[in-house]
Amino acid sequence: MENLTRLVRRTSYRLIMKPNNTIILVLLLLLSACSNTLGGVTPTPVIALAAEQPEVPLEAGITPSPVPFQFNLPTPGAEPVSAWRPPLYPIPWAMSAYDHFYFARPIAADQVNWPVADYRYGGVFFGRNIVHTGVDIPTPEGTPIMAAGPGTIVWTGWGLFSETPGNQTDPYGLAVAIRHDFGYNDQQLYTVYAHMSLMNVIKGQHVETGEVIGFVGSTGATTGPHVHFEVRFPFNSFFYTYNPELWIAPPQGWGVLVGRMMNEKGELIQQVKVAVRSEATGKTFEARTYGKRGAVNADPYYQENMVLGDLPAGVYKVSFRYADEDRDRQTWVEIFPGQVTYFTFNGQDGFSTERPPVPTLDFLPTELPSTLTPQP
Amino acid sequence: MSLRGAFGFCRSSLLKITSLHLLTSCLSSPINRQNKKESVPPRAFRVQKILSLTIAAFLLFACSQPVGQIPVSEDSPEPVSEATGTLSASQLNGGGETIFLSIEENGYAHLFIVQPQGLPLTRITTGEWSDIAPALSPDHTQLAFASDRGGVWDLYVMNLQTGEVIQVTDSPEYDSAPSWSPDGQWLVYETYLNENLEISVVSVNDPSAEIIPLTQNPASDHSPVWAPDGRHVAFISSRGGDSDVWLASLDLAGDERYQNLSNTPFASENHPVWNFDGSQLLWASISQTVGYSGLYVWNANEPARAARWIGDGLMGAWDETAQRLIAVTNAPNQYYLTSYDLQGNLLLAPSPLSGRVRGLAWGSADLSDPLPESFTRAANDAIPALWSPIVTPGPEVPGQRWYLVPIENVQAPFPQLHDLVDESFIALRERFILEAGWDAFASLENAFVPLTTSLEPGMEEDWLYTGRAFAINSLMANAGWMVTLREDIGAQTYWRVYIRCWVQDGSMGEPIHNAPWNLSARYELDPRTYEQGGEYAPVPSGYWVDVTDLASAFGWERLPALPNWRTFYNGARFTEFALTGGSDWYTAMRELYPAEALVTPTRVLAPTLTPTNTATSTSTPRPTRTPRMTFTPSLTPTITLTLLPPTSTPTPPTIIP
Repeated sequence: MENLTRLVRRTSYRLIMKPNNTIILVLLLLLSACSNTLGGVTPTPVIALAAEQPEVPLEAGITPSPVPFQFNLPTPGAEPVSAWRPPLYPIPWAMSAYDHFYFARPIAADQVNWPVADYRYGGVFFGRNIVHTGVDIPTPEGTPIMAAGPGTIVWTGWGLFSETPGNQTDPYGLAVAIRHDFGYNDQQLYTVYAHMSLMNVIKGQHVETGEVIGFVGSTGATTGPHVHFEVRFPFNSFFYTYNPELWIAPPQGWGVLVGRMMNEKGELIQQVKVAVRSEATGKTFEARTYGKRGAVNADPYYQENMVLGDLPAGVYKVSFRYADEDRDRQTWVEIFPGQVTYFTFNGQDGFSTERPPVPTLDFLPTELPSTLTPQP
Repeated sequence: MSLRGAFGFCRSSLLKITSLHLLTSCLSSPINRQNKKESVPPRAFRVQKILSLTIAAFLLFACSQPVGQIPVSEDSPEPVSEATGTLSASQLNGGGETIFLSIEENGYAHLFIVQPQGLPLTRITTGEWSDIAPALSPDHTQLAFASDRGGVWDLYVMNLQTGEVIQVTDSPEYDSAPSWSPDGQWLVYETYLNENLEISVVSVNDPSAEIIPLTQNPASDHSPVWAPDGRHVAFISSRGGDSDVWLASLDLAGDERYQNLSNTPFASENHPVWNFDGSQLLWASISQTVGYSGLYVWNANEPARAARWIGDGLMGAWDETAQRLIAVTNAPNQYYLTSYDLQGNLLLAPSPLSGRVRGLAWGSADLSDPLPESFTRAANDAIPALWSPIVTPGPEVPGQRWYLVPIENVQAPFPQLHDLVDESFIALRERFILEAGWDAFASLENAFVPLTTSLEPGMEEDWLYTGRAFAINSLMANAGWMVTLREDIGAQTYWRVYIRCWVQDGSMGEPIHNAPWNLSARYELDPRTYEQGGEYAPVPSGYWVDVTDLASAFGWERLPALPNWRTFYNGARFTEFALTGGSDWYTAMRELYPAEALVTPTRVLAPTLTPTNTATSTSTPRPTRTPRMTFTPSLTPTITLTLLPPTSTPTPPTIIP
């Protein structure tokens, strides 16, 4: 500091002698800035001040004030309920050969971007014959809807459900469909976004993941503003939808529960309420098995009739009331980050977590290797 | 300026430089000179530019040299490129250093010799079988190797003076990788015993002597090398989970006999080689994300110290003084021969080889001069081409485009391939049936795919679209008939695919040496395997055919996994093989489609402005004639406002009267 002051003083002398020397002036300004004094227009008083400034006492010499410095923090109370969730896994995400989390979500992470719990894929609300073919994400009207993956817009406007362009009685309201650039098992993938208030794209336009294609509304058959999201393959048709919760990437560290619930005869059980309770937090999630009628399709590999997405990793108790029994049937499953946990229930044998058998080839030689060889 | 001219210029400007120091001198001297000067005049720049061009030209020149001309050795001041490439007695160095190589051509491995100081790469065995793993005897007169010339894999010993070959082992099981005992009486080798590879010792001269088993472990033990002290054998074993270098002491028994030398949990070791006095051990390591792949030297005098990395390489060999190494390096679909000193300095620019190298040895060999008659006959043997394209005539198509032709008796979504590559596929399929005994190519996951097919994410520009690629059926893996070994080359991951043979009596295929990669392991809840994208699996038993190798003999290259393969199963892409013909994807697509078909519809707006009929008063924002930038949501209110007045204008007249 002393050296600096001396240097500044010397510089100022030079400045007085050569007032037109701009280089020195710049240097001086820099130095004066460094010496943390007032930034005056005229250099002389600054230098004078700097020169007369008392030396900064050493740290050890500072006497502590009677009240020690402290932060004024609010008293911690009950943990606030937060809707925060981790960011999603990068897409495409597929830890196993039969996973296909190929899509991002149509709603950004600053809003609720997960499906509404009591009207998931396969749910029944409007009537026994109308089964939900997608998931609903409730958000305020006007929330941007984003493309879940890169693709080409193949439908905009009214009439997607009835496949009649401009049909203003269509339950899907203003809807957009995207044919994606990639596929699954060489089949074409489509996503559908319905009940928009406003569309931002035209047919034939190419969009990238996250591009805004419209805004949330409640056009068509709705009870409030939300986006209805569907995944379809291989055709862009109402009868080729699949459960989007198996296609949208879960939040990081979270997983997906997939179940197949059958009665004694091996028939799928419809519309039974399944409670999934976290052993760690005690929070209970609910899902219903798919309804009977309508256009729901099970995943080609899992053949499920129940999916519960967005579960934090951990141990869960799965329980439900089977038939007319007095007590709940229950089992425990573990959810793993970024993975699909699979269970089956059979009226006769109860629960099982054995995964479905992997397909094989009929033309292969019948004789099998003597020892188990790993899958690649 | 011709290449030779460039070379001459480089040499004349920098006097008295031996060929091996040439590269470093060319690289360093102009820079040094400039550093001495205060300012850099433009002329110096020009000189530097010319110099760098000549260096580049020299590098190209060195790389483009045919296999038969390898200028190696510090002693030769002149590059051996002057060599005519024919066998002449004067070039042969009878007692000199000779490199023995087993190189695959047309899917069969043959033995070759090359002498750094003269003899170009010369084939010494030929035939429709494979001769692999050459090992020079301690007295320099004999060469042990493994061959399936008798239908099954056995050990043979060749007399280097006469070219005469005698059979050492005669078992239906696979025997390979011989290594001589220091007294030249025994061979230690790997053999397929009890459904896995084990190490045994056989007498060379006494056929009646019993075979002595050295290891008995359910894991794979292979590639033994006898230490010069005679009491130790280094070998590769997967008993620790993955392949590591182990040392067996012949004086100890039980578990004490074995000691792990490399201790690398995420690397797979191979090809150990002792130097002449047994003080150092060289091996090759294929690392998965931890450390470097390449050649390592372990020092027997400091056993606790980790092995030292020397340079890239799949396998190596010492020279007689243990001062230099010869090494085989690889690109994903190409093999090269190169040389290092122990500091890792490159002594020889990598020279491309015709195929995969299946064995390497270096030492003084007592070769007769001229070479034995069988050597000359093998050297002059013309290897026929495996396939040649037959163009199916068809109606003229504009723009020099090609046809797709159907491939018979193949199940695939579209059983078609490009007209130039279908013969290669058919030849490969027939050869595979011959090698493995069954038809794994009868059902393909994909052959050609049309533009209307959407492949998985990340495969939008896949070779399958060009008709020059096919993907074998990955469901074979589910049934246990296919395994893949992971090979990281550079930053990319490749796979080596093995398919199981129909007949398992040793007459088909080879046992797998190294641990395969289990992609499904990441589903098994271990965060480490999750990060690594899987883990090593136990070495499967049985006899297998290396499909990657066989396909490459027919020109089919493997493709790298997509960068996200660790979390995207289908991105591993281990089933796909492409015969690119040296062209890029777009050029290959242009052979099938007109340029207009390949215009990505992606970044193009719809040509007409179609108004959408909306029920609400707010009409949807219509695209203006401006570029797509204007589609940002912030502009939408403005558009809505401009559209509103027309709807509101009819009302005022009704109110005013």
